[in-house]
Amino acid sequence: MKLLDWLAYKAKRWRVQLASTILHNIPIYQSATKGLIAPGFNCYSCPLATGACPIGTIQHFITVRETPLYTIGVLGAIGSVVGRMPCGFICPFGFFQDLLYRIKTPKISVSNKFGWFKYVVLVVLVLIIPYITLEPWFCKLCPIGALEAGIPWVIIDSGIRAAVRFMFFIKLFILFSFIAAMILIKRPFCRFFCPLGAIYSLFNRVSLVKMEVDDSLCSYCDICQDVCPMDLRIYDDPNSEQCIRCFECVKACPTGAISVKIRDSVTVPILERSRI
Amino acid sequence: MVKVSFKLRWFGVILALIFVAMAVYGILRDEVTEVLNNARIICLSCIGIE
Repeated sequence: MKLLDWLAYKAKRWRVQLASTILHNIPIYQSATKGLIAPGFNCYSCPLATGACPIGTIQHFITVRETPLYTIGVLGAIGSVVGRMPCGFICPFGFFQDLLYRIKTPKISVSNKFGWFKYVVLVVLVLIIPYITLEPWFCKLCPIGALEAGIPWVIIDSGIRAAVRFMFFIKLFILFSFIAAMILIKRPFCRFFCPLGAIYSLFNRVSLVKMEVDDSLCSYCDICQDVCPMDLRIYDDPNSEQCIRCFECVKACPTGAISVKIRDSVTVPILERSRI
Repeated sequence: MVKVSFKLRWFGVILALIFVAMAVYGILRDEVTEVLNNARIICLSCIGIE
C-alpha cells in the first residue's frame, strides 16, 4: 500500500517511466533475460532489448500451434493485481507517446468511443491471422518494431540494409503516421490500437488496485480530463477499461475526490428479474 | 426488480493465483526456453524485411 501511495501521490511518473524504459533495454545477459516476458511493449528484436515482447511471443506460440501459458500467466497475474497500470508507468512506448504529446502544437481531441478497436487488433492481427497464415502479422505492421528494431538494424547492419524491401517502407509509413498522431492526439496507439493494453484492460474492473471517485467531493471541473493521458473523465467510470492508472488525476484533483484503493471484493450478479 | 448477487472476497487475489499457477505450469513445460530461443533470433517481421 505504501508503494501505491507513493506512486499515486508522490512519484514523478516520468522518472518511473524513464527507469522502466532503461530496464527494458539493458543489453547485458540477453541470452538469459530474453526468456523473461517484458511487462511493457518493447520489441525483442531491438538490439538493446532486455526481455521478450509479450505480443510477439503470443504470436510465435500461435504460429507453432501451442498455448502460451507462461506468457498469458505473467500478463494475467500482473493484470489481476494492478489492471492496466503497466501502460501508465512501465511501457516504454507509452512513455514515448507521453513525450511526443508534450511538443507544443495545437492538439486534437478524439473520443474514446473507438477504444473497442484495440480488441479487434488483438483478436484479428494477434490471434486469428497468425493462426491461419502462420506468420506474426502484428509484428509485420508494428510501429514499435519499426522504431526499436527496423531503424537501428538498418543503420548498424549492412546485410539487413541490403535486404530492405517494400514492407520496411510500409512499416516506416505506419510509424511516422503514428508519430504525427502522437504529437497531436493523447496516446493514440494505447487508446485505439494496442493489443497489450487490450489484454491488461480486461482486468481493470476486477483487479486488486482500483480507482474511486467520491461524488460528494467531485466538482466536475474536468481537470482530471485535462491531465489524463487517455483523455478520460474519471468520474464517468473510475475503472473504465481505458484507464491506465497513471494517477495523474489523483495528483491533480483540487478537491481530493479521486483516490486509489485496494479492492477486497467483487459483486457478481447471478439473478436479476422484474417482480410484478 | 429483484437482484440477487454475491460478493466474491479477494477476487483479484484468486485470479492472480490462477494466473501464477498457469505461468508456473508453462515454466514447467519449458516454455521459457521456447520464449528465449524465439526472442534471441532477430525477428525479420519486426524489422520489416519479411
